[in-house]
Amino acid sequence: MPKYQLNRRELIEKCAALGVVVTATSLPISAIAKIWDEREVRHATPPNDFGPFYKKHSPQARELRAAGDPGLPLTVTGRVLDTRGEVLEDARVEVWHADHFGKYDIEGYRFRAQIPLEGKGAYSFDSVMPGHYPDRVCQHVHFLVSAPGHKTLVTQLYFATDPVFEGDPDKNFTRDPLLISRELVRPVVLTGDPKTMHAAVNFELCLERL
Amino acid sequence: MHRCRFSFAGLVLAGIFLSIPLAAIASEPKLETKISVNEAVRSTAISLDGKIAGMLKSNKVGIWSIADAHQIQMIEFGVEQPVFFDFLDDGTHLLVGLRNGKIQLHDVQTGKVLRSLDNGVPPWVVRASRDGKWLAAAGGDREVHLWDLATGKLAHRLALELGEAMDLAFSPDGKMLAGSSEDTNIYVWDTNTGAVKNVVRDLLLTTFGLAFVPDGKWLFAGSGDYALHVIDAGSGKVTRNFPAQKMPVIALAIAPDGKSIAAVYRDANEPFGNTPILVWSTESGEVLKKNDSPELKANGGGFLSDGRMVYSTMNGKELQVWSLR
Repeated sequence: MPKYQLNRRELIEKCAALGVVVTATSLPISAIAKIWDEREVRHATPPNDFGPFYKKHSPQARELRAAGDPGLPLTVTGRVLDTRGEVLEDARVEVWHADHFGKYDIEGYRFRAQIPLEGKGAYSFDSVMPGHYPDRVCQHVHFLVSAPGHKTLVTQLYFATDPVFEGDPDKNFTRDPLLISRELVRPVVLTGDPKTMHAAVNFELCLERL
Repeated sequence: MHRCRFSFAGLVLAGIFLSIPLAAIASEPKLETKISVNEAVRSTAISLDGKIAGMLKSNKVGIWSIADAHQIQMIEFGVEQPVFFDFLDDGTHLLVGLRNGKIQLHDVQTGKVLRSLDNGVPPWVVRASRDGKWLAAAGGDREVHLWDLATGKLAHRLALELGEAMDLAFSPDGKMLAGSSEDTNIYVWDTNTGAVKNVVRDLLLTTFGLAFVPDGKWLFAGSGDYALHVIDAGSGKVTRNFPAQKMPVIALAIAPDGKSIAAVYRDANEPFGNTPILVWSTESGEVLKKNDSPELKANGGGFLSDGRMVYSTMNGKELQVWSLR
């Protein structure tokens, strides 16, 4: 069930009726609600290309990495919110990406999953840093995120450590013609010694209301 | 395979039937012609009568006579890069989609622009109905734009649920338009009303090639799951699957009589790899002929009105046109 059932106007009207909010303005409630609505606390995550490698019916999983998989271990975490900062606990997050060698699994579901949320809109999954697909410039992970009452988000996550950026994603992110927003290039936290090196990325997913 | 297009579907405009059953013809590929070119050819189109070939290069489209490898026309687009081109009807007109969103109809002999439509977004795939009434264009957004060619007006914006369109195909009578999307669905629209007739949701992976049979009852879908699927165009149900091969199907072309269909395959993870071509019997589901040479990297082709299935491939600085007889 959605956490918030009232729209902005109804909420303000109810609060005013109960005396928990006092309006010190001559503006009607509907105008106050409109002004409030326009002051969104976050902007939506930029969309990005869907790509031709989506496969329906991927399994629910948080562990995409199997023992012995080559590649830098990667953990992606984040929350699913809307533009008012409200947590979307009933969101559905689906990801897919190429393996360490830049190859997509067409026949099976390796590195493809629907990620179960962990409460308060939080998600996380373990995988490997994707390789470079031959027809694309940057390493990337595809996201398909939906929630009732919100516009479905199709986007991609990129990595600031991608060699393509030569350490300067601000300057070089346009080297991938499909990467149209710098915001989608996320910082990578590397931990551990060389034998246990692990990458962690936070990617907040912010959906627009319908 | 992202955004790599063949010009196959533009070659299904024929109405002339084969005079000799395909299965009775020898199956060895035959070199029809070779044309020297001084730069890479991204894709080609071959006119229905097999007389001329078009070549899409960086910012120009060249038209050549296949018989004597003579250049007929070179249309330059300056800074506007063509992203799609194909012949209309019998090869007297050329459709060109430009990165700036324009769709131009050119006279092949003069190279002049006869009509220009502003599609708004780059038209990566453009198809015309056989009767010349409709033109459908897609790419760059989650819509297919259906144009009335007689008036040059946009008749309908046809919405896709999530991804962009990968291929489009008109039914032979022009009453239906099918479009496959990156979201793996195939949409069938009524061209007059713009309404969705049905949505095929049964396929797991994206369809890259679409082709209607001549009576419009069945729609063939060549999919990322390595197989050809036969769809009842009326109900949207997948009724039959041809045997899966080892690679995704990236393009389809159906013979004018509908008895055979050519499927081009390529490894999803090798976008510059070889492209085996198999010609299937639409009735029996058997392979009638094939070229699965590791050297073959087809960049265009289709069926001619005389029944030959032709395709082009680059060999160094030479464009070769072959036929599968």
